[in-house]
Amino acid sequence: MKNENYVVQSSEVYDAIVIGSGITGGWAAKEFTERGFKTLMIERGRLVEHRKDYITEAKPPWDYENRTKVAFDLVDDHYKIQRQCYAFHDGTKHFFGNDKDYSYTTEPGTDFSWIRANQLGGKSLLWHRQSYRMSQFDFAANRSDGLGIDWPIRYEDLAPWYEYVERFVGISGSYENLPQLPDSLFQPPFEMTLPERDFARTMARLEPDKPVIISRCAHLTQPNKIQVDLGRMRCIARNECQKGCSLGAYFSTQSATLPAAAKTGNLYIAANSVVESLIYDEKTNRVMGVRVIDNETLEQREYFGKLTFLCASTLGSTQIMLNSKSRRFPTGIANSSGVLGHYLMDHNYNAVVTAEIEGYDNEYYSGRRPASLYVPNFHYEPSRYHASFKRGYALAGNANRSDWQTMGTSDGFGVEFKNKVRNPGGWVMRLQGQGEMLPNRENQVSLSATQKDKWGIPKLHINCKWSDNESAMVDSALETAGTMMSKAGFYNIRKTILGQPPGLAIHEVGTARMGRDPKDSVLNAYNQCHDVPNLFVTDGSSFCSSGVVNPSLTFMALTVRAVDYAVKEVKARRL
Amino acid sequence: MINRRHLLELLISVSGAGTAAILLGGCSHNTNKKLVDTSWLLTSDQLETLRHICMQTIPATHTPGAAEVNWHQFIDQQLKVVFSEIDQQKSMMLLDKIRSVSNLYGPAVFERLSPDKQLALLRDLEASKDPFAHRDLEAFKILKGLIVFGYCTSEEGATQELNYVAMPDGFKGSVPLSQVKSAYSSKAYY
Repeated sequence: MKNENYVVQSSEVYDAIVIGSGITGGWAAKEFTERGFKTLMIERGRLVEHRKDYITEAKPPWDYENRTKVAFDLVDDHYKIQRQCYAFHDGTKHFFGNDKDYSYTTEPGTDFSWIRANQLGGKSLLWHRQSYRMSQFDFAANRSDGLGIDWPIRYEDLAPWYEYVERFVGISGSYENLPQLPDSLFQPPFEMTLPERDFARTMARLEPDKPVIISRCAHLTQPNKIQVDLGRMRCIARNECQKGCSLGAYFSTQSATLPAAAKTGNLYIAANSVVESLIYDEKTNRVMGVRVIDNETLEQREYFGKLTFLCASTLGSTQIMLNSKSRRFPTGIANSSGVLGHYLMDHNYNAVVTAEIEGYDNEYYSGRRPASLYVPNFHYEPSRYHASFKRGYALAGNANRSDWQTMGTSDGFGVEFKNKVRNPGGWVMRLQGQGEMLPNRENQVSLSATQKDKWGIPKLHINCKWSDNESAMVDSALETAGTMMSKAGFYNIRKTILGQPPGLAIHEVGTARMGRDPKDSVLNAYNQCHDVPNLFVTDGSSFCSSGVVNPSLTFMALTVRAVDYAVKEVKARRL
Repeated sequence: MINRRHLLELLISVSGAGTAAILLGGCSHNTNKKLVDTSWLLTSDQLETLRHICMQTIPATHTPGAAEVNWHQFIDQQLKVVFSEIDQQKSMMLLDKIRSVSNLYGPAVFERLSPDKQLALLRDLEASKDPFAHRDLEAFKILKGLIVFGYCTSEEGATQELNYVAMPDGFKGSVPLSQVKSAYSSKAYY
């Protein structure tokens, strides 16, 4: 990026404003700029430059003052929530938000862990990169069982856009031809370990409705020309992705969409710009721009654009909308339906089963695989629902050898113990449930009436909890994974319920849902606000149901489809 | 391992020599901070006891042992900086208890007991046998976990004893263990 493309003060009216720079913001910016739209990307956090700002990349553990652990007082004061994320450590903490600054409130008796990544690139730097298409069953689920409003789109509407983004992103995986998990355009899959391969074969024989496949992830295993031209390279399986990857081997804003957008010369970035609210003109019924508070100086400024795309994350976008009040929209912009903020969902990852595997003593692996095993949802339509709950869950996990990280507190001393730590231990299989969360109106975010954050913006108040349906699903996932392992001949099977609150799957969706009827939804089938035509919301807030799979690939597909629609509408002078 | 020359060429072509050098340095951040020879939390007596526990747990063989790389001081620092006050207290109380019950195993404090006697005491501790109780074992797990963590994440432990590979050349799902010799980890640092 050239320096002149970084904006602070500007009176320019941009063709498009994109709020947020994570997975969806990056995509929106790329698509608009490549179509010739002068685009302003607004990011509340600091700039992060690809490669240059990956300050801990390749840093070995002994070079950290606390060997990758974070000081207790620092965690206690600033990262109590963020530390719950599996990827939080001393080498990544600079990509997480500070809980003190990014505080929110929760309803008494509920809990929600909101993981924040507020810098250029957002959570695209920290995500787990597992990438799946939602299926025809996911998009039809609400209509099929009546547990939510019908999605206004079907799989067929999104399929070409999935393909479009996959060609650019690069997804490794295997072709399986499963109805509940449509194949993507794949680069070669990561290999399974030998016990995993045998487990998959055994399950194919004994549990044919539960195929065990390799997970699908946004890592390059055979980069195509588009990716190579962006300077991206093949993944070498360090699995230290959240420190940043100079190889660009996993998909992020920095590695992929940002350089593509910058190449057009149409991209402008306003960093350190916390969006306070949208500027709405009642006469024209259009969003004219945004009011921002400077992240550091707390000064207020405004930016203007003809189109606004909210891509600030599910809760981030919803907070901005709720805080954009006017005479016409006293409870938040585009909220004539009254559903804005409602139907918050995540995924439930609380069921974990482990078991030991006999044998394979001379079997090992090399590299650190950024993928896992995956057992797609097998309760994917009402006729396959379990008697005790609706919808379904997937299982994800792996089989690898225990090591010093897991054997550190085991018994023993002396040379014998040193050898034990030195050598790989026995094989262990781990499977974790990934359950769908139903859309409940009561699971809601609103603005605090009394508390504001350091930028003077009302804090988000979150009222969200698991329902009996999700709890029953956890029990079933434990039972299923245990049975699978038992049938495979594994032993010492242990079932654990983690007890984590919603939020920690970091798959929050809902709160500004799509729908056909403006009376019960915020967005139409193209992520366009029913009430305000030049305002689009393309992140997870648009979801009508959570589905089972990791949602990021769907965020991307929805975003590029929405941009394509918006551009056509502009060209047809309907916008 | 990946062919570093090839990777270096590729990286230089897309990111310039400076970034490539940083990335491919891998192990060469190499500030390799040496722990300052001062106490963070523990008394000199507690440190001395801990040093001998480290030596008993992971002794010097063909690779360095605790005495050579001051893992006990690493633990002292970790306890002070990374752990809660409750865990700090538990650990200090255990070290004091080990010192105070040493006379049941021989006529001296722990560090002056013969290696066999030290080991006998530690085995009783790990088995929660009299004079130790289960809560002592819980506290010992903190210390033992730190001994192993400190050892395995030290440059000596990770590169001489274990097989730390900063830049694997992709993932291979099936490799004979006999080719690998020793493990590092299938997991990254989190």
